[in-house]
Amino acid sequence: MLIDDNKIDLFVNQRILEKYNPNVKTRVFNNAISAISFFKLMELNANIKSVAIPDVILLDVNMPEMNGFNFFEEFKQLNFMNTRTIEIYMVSSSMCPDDINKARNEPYCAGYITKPLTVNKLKKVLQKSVNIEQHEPFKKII
Amino acid sequence: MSKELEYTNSNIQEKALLASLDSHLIVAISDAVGRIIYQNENFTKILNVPRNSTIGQANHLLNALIQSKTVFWEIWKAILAGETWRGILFHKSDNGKSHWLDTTIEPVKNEEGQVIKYITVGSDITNYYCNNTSKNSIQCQEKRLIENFTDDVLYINKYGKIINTSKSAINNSYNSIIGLYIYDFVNPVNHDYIKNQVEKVFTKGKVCKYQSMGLSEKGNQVFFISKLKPVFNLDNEIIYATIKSKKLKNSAKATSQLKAIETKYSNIFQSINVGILVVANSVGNIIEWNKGAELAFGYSSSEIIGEPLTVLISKNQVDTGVKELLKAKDKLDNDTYGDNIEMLGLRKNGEEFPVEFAMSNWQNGKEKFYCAFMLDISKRKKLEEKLKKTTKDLELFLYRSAHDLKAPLTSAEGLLHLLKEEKLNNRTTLLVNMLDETLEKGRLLLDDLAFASIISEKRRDITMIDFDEKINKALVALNGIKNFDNIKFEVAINQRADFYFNQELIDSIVQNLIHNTVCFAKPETNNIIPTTCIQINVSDTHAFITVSDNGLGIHEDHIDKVFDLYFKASTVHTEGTGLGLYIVKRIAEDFNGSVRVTSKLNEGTTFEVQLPNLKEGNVNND
Repeated sequence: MLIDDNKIDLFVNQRILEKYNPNVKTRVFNNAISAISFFKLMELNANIKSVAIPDVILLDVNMPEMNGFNFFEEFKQLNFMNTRTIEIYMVSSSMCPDDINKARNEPYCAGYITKPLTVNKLKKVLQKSVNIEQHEPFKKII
Repeated sequence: MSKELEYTNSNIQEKALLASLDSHLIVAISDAVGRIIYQNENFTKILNVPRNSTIGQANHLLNALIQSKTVFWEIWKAILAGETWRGILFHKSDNGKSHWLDTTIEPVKNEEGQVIKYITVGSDITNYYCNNTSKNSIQCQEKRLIENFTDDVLYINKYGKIINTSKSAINNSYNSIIGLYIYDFVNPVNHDYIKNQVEKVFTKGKVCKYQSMGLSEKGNQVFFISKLKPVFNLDNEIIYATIKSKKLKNSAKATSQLKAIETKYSNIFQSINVGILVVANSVGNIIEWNKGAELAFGYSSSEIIGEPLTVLISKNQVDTGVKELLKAKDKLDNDTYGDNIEMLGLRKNGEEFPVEFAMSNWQNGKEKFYCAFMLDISKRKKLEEKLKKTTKDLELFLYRSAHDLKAPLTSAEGLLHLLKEEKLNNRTTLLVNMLDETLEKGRLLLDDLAFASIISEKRRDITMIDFDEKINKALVALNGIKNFDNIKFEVAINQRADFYFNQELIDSIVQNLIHNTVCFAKPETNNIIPTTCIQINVSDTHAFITVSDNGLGIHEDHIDKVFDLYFKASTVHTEGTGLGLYIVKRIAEDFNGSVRVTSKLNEGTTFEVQLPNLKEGNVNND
């Protein structure tokens, strides 16, 4: 799942993902609110849960209305989090240490990737996380 | 016969007379040159000398009797002229007893009119005289101001000793002041000035005047003009000087002048916008209040006069405020220049506002007065606050702008990456690569800019620095920039104490300095191996980071510009953003450190950065 308000970034990230692995299914949201709505909808409809719930979320930090960190606040309220672990990576052009520290302190945040996203960066992030179920340390990919 | 009888008679009479006088009076007869040829018992008693020791001694009589030279001179003048002198003499004998003698000195002449003998007759009037003068002596002990002898003339010698007074003073029994110094009667403040005046009179023979202020018996201020006048003898030598003091109060002219001055100052005082208030020492109450103070505090003068100063100080600050005031007062009392005091003032309507007092003081009689010039600094404070906030806002704005500008750049970079994957012909590949470089540069610039804008924010986050790690990290980070692999690095760290600073700022300094040496290194040749030396010395108080290279060096013309914003020394070596050294300088200066650069063209450059150790205890809270 990709969440970014910038359509170009969204497009680029999607293409990079396809390059990384053409078989990856992606779902894109151009704002965090609709992503949260999507999750809420799934909570109500238990049947499609297992299929639609993403393995990985790439979350932009700076977004209007609800930014990446606000997203986490909402995300915590969801119930199905107890059963499954979704790896959420923050993606940002910001190299501001404050943002990175904030992400590090966010328990649901698995890592921080700086833009632009590249195939190599994706590899670093995803190679392990797809296969190994155990909790991994925070990843900072620049 | 009859003549003889007459002689005998007169002789007998004379003898009887002498005998009776002898028992009552002090009698001495001296010859023409002043040698004592006769003295009676009273004389020796009073002079407390053995009967025979004085006989034949020249002038001993006068010397013994006349302790004041002026009087001596006066007497000498009189008897030389063949006149009789009469006056009161004071004698203090060796055993400490004082005697006042009503004395007559009479010359005895021969037929030719020449003086052959002097008869000195004195009567001891000590008992009577002392009773009469004791009051005056007490007054003398109180050190009455010389100005009080307003109608009298005082005679002084060059040391300021009073050697005689005018007749009226004698009649008023001020004799007791003879032998004292005029300084005993003058306000100590004026001592130096008067001393100078006295000296002037005696050395230059000029008439001098001085003005002084005293208090009358009722406590009013009285102004005096005293005139010092030298008195010459026949040889044109100054023998003594006279002082005559006049009360200025009687002079209409002086009064009107004074009044004019007073009106002038009181007008200034009242109309000036700067608040001024005067406090009397004894009670701490306000005794003067002007318009400026009224405007600032809201009290009219009738409301505030007589109130204690503390009503003007914010309730929360009364304790500290009073302490500050007392401190300032002590300073003033010790004749040091008082500090300005900043405190929170309290308006009549309860508002508080920052205020600054400049203190001064003066003394009038026994009472000390303190004057506070009040400056309302609320505007200044407000401006200071505003400036601080504006600076912060600006920094934040710069930071945010840099960030937001970066977002589209990174998007473009992302697109470019995709573009590279497409099938491109040679020409488009070239363009794409150039575009890539341009975007990269823009991104670096914005990163630096964002970093520079939040330097001052970083001071909150201080931790221990491991320089070894910092340098390795910097070398790793810089690995990959052009030229890097050709450079030989020599690192020397001499750390005697733990060093505390902000991690990122140290990263930035080290990286920027090293980056700089890499950018301006010479190409490797057989003779030259481009080398960068990094030396770090850490002491308890400071860290010295020295980075030197054997690179291209900086031209003299440019050396003072290297730390400027966006300054780039050469157009050939376009690596870097022009912000690196600016950031280094900003960091050093923000933390009260320093940067220095020395360079020789074609030989190399050395940067020295000095940073304070922000260890706990060293930290200053500003």
